Amino acid sequence: MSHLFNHVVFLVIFHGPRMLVVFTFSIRATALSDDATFPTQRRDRAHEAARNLGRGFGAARLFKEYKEVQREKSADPDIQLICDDSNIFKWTALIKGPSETPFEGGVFQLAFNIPEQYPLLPPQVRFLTKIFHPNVHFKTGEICLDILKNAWSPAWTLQSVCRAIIALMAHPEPDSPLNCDSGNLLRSGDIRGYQSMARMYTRLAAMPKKDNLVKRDTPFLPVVKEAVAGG
Amino acid sequence: MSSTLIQIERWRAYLRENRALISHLRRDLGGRRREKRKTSTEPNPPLPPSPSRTPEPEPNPPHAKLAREAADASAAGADAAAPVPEEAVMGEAAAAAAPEALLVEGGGGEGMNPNPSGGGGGGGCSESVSVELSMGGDYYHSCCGDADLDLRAPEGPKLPYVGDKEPLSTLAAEFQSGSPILQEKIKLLGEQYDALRRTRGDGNCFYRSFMFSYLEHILETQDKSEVDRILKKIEQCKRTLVDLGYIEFTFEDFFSIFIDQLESVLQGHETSIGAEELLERTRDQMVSDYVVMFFRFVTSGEIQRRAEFFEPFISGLTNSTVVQFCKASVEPMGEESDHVHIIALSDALGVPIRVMYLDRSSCDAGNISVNHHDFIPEANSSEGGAAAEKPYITLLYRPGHYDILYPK
Repeated sequence: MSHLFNHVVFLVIFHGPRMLVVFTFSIRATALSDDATFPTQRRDRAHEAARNLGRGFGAARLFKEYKEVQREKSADPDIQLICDDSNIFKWTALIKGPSETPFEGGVFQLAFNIPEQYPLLPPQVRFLTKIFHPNVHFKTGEICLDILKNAWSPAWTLQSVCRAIIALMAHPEPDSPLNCDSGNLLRSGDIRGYQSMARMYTRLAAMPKKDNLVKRDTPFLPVVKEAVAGG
Repeated sequence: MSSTLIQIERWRAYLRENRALISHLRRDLGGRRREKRKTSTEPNPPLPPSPSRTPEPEPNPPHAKLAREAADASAAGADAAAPVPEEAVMGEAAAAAAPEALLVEGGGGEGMNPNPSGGGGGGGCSESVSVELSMGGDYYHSCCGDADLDLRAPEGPKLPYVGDKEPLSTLAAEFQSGSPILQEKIKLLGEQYDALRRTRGDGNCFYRSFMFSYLEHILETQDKSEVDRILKKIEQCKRTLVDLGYIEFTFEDFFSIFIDQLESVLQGHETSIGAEELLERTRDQMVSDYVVMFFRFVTSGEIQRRAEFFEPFISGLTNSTVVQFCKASVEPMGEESDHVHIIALSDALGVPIRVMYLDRSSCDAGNISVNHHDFIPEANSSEGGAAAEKPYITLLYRPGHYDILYPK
């Protein structure tokens, strides 16, 4: 089955999801005729086929996003999306801290863990780079953003999620904090305190260590650049 | 990509202009959602510990906003739950009713709170860490609840997405000990309708009812011209979305799944299906959800295309802009549908829909009747012919829920 499934994904990628429907329904049909005498097993098989169908769609959609990202590589210099070499459900993004915020000059790494039911379910995104922001958990990097939870819809893409996260960095929502210390600073009106803390962590965690004072506007680390080219 | 940019720019602009409004809206939506979640499934993990000096967040946060939400919730809860008997026929309504107690409890604590910082409070940071924290916890639930738990756990003792056809008498039995007005109305319904098909109350019930009802109609009538007509409409919807700046790959899969279903209910193909397979597919999580999402895209596109027409309805309903409304209340799965959604979907696809209202209204005049509303697509009325057509899709509305009705 798994061999068959690989084949399905391959087909999806090159022929689109409609092809998949035909293909997987034919799998289902064979499953049905094979196991006509074992109803439960039959049901399991059919169910598995349906699940794979969902997974296939997720992969197909992600592949489209991958192509789009490759095509529009230079369209948004603030975002670099990199797909894992071996698993299309794992992505990494590098985003630039928005200007005129304490995150300016920093490069933040995001980890995308994408569920099989994507795009019906949102990607799980978290900051790998430490960041001091009211809506980002300081330890886990979890992000409190409605579109990643209950306001998600398939109209969003990985790229637009990145944009939304950049927008969130520039417009913190201290009233729904995941990082309460950061939220409290803003809520109590201590903008300067918030900014200097955020700035400090940006320098510590999101900027190249040695030359952060010399070449502050270097967009990405050389190592990172390589990774981008490879991915 | 520029289209995404436009989308995001819009979003940013709204954020900038209407921050107060948006956070209000979020709170509103969050509140409603929290109600659903808290009962329907084991809720989210508690707020993970914060970096420093943080006591554990209280599970029942006492603060001013909660009290207000509690009031809202109890109003909504009472409204929705009133005509329903104990068994949770309508998951939503029942879910809305129960957490009321939870919230009121939280609100009750408010009196003891020395610093009810409902947003304006501001100061007192060092004193009220736990209050602020618990508030964080509260929002954590509202904003960071697990997304669509239904999607994660499709199996269980729940009602299938679309149930079996059952005689209307089961509805009467259900309301046996209920309000006499409703019993009377069910009797009246029985004069015109003889069967009912229930759908799961997961916020997508309208779309699923519509999906099954429409596809079943095509399956029974084999109306090829209707299929050709709706395919043209679907093509228009696609263009609408593209014009609105949606990226095609974000919605094309949903469209093609629906078109596949449409084609397979027409007989004479290799892929043709019968009634049984149609039911099975509507119950299949993947197919069903993809079709629901197709309808959501179509509805959202239509509302935005005719933003001027829908704007007054929407601002009256939610106090938000048309785009915000679509992003928050149309496109996400599990968002319940209202008049606005039905008008939009009916217009966009050119399919007339009749809704029978089973509620306690119109009980003052003495002569009880079952209210209904026909949603006749705008385009059809100008084309003539089709306008005279009686809606072949009939849905039974009970506050918060739609099921399918079968006429005699």
